[in-house]
Amino acid sequence: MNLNKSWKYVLVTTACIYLLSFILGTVIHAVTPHAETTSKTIIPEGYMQQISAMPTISVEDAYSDYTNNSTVFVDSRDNAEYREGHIKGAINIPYDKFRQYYPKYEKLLTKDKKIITYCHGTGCGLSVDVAKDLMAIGYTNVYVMTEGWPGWINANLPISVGKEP
Amino acid sequence: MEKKSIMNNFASIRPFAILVLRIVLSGIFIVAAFGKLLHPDALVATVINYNILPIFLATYFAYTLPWVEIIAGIMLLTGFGTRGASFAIGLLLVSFIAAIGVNIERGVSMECGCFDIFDMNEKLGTAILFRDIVFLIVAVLLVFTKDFILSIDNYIGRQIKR
Repeated sequence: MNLNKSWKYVLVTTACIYLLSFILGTVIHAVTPHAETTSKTIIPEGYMQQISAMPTISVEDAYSDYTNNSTVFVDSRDNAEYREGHIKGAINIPYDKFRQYYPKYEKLLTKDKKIITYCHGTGCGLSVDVAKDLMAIGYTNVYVMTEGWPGWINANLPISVGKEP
Repeated sequence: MEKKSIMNNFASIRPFAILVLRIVLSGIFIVAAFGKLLHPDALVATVINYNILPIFLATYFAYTLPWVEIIAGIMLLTGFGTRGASFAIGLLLVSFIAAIGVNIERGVSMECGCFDIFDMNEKLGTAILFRDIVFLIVAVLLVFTKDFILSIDNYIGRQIKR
């Protein structure tokens, strides 16, 4: 086979693979449900009341505290979601397993630290639950980052995947 | 004369060596693709985390990536458009090597996201960079190979000649 012709064939094959993959990937993404988009669409009743009683913090302000060693981020979603992606450095205390997870981080969560809880974003009350639990055992410097995980992602801030903080 | 016979010996082993490399490389990419397809959201997060492409592009790269791996992997395994498939894999590897290299240089400790299927949670490091360079060398070698035994390409070629 003529060399020029065979290289053309190689490049065309490669281009076809990429084009087909792009179409498949985009279409399949469009037709499958995703955690981030499903959880933030409906704001449950009582949420506004619940959140209004809590000290809240914006993503921007949270990020300015982020590099500060005296701030701890607490992801209150369940562990599977945490492993799929979370704020880099955040610890995981799932809202319904506070008693089980809290002791793991008791040493890290000293009372002088600023604690920022988050979950699926606007409409998600899990971070409020965890913040309340923390306040109940004596933490005073607790804030809820209401924009949550989607807000953090949209701002292109550091994240981590897997079970490590 | 003697030199020629050594060359002949090498030439007789070469097609089998190429076959083994083809199977190994395609196997690795097919396995890697499955892990990524099972955790699509984690893959998006990983690609964004590499902090090279803007989020918009990183997202589409993450959608496309596992399909390139699986399609090119299967094509390489069956020997259909073998050189093109090797080239496609080579391009991916170049992007992996660049992304990993940049993040090692930045001193970032993050997960590789290479083989999610085994829950390996590999951390980026020079070992991974070196591994990808070895894969790239194999892919380049395959791109420059003219004839593949036990391949659809070969079969079609013979049918045409006949």
